[in-house]
Amino acid sequence: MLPFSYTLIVVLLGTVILGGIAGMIGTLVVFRSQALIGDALSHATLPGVVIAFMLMQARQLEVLLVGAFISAVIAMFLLDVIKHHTTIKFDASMALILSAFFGFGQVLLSHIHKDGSAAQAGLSRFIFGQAATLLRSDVYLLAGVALLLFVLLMLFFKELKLFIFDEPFFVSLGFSRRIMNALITFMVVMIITIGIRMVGVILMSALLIAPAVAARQFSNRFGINVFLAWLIGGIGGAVGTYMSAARANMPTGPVIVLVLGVIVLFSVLFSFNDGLIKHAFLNWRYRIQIQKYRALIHFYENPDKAPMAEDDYAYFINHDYLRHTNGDLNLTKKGLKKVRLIKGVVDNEY
Amino acid sequence: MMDHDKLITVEDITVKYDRITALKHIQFDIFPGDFIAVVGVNGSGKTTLAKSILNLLRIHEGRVVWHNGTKIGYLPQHAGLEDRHFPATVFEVVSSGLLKDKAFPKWLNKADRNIIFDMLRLFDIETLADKRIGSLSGGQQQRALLARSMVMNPDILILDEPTNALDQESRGRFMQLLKSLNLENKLTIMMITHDVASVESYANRILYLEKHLLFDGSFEKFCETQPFSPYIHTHPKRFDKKGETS
Repeated sequence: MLPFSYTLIVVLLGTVILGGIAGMIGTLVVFRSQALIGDALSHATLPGVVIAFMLMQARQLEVLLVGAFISAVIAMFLLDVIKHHTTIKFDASMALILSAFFGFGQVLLSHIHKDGSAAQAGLSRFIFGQAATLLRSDVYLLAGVALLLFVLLMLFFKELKLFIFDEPFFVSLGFSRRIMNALITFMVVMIITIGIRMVGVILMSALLIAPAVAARQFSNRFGINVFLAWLIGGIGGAVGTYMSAARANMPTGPVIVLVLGVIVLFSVLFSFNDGLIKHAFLNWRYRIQIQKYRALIHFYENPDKAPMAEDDYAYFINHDYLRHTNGDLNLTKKGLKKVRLIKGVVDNEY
Repeated sequence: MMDHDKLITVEDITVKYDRITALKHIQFDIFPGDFIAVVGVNGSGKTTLAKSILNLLRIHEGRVVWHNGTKIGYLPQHAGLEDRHFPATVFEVVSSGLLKDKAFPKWLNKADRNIIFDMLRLFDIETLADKRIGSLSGGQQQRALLARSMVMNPDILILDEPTNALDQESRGRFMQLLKSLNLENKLTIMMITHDVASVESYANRILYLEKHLLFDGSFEKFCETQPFSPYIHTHPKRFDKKGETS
């Protein structure tokens, strides 16, 4: 058992806050079918970090993050231009922006490295992140941004939900598509900007997407999905941080992502809503029931046709699924219910 | 008719997408109680016309006037059905129709809930209130989305190909529902469709669009004066039958 040192508590606070708020914002992104945008934008922050360092000759986190923010906004702007003024497909343009910006960032990094600049080590941590060296002041910054994003999300929750569900109808009510797009982009870029210090530009999108995907398996309500994503993101952050701290040379960011990956795997398998295990079980039960109640189903579907041998019905008559009334064999209420259950017949459907 | 009797006036509008002109000099009025069917082939500008009336597009010439704060309900084409797994219940979806009119923090009060449940009852989906919208059948979904447009108590309802995804039976029931809203609730309806035959017994006015407004009048008049419109070719049987009986 690892003792909770001061450093560990600071790091834990940071990753839990980040994981939670990233999960919430990520829900919006996932339901907008824009999961890849998060990935493209987080990769696009790298050159901004390096350029901010080169221009300002400063290592303060705030300065570097402003660079990251601007870089991501430029990437988003380029994505928009490509979408509206070229015939390039959107997924292709995302891949293009992602690799171009990331490559540019790498070139700039090795350029500083050649200069012999001592800060190079400090900058390359943005690629994979480095949560272990998180400072108290970093956590304050993180908590401030998280609070801002949380308040924005709560204020515009219903609008965001409707916008994502049905954009044309949302706009027809007189709301602005542009403001909503700007709001979502702002929130995504903000969360990425504060997250890259801890988990790095490469893995940041997993923090956005994994909690949302896992949460989706457990609820059919949008609000509950957002809440669950917050919970799962927070848990992933906590467990990942603790595990990486428990052993030497375990990078925090990748471990958090790994933990989230396991959570996603389990939720996809075991979800009581739509899980693979549940599906397999239902399929198995369906097959068994079809075999057992074959004759009953046959009777339900072909009441007028020549019946199967009387023997086939003996079991069902004994168990009150079928009954002789006025010399005719009829389905009882129980029998009707059973067949409809197996066949998945729902009333009031047209 | 006096100006204040009109709900909406479309004043000589022209709409362009880049270099392509989608609508040219369209002009007409919408009066209370109208059941208008906007018909035309693909690309004739039907949806563009609906969006122009709703102020969703930039209009290059002319203007659309909503008289005395006309409230418009809108049922978009393929509304909200892109993601069948989107986590929203029928109640949530219907309640979102009230979003615009409510003041912050937009919580539903008892009166709102009553309105929503009245609508669910009216459209016979009350028992589905807590079901996920994507789990409903096409007809149920369309009625839920119609309920969403109706909770704000609109003066006019604009529907863009609402029966496309429905089978024959559901289509008939949906059209009956629209007709009863039109007759009993005095709701003005403007429905876009590519199938003019399907609105024969419902619409009292046909707008035939081919970038220009080629025809504006009753269904009977439409059959007489537009015998060479693309519809007559695509629905020969329908019109032959009509010829026999009349």
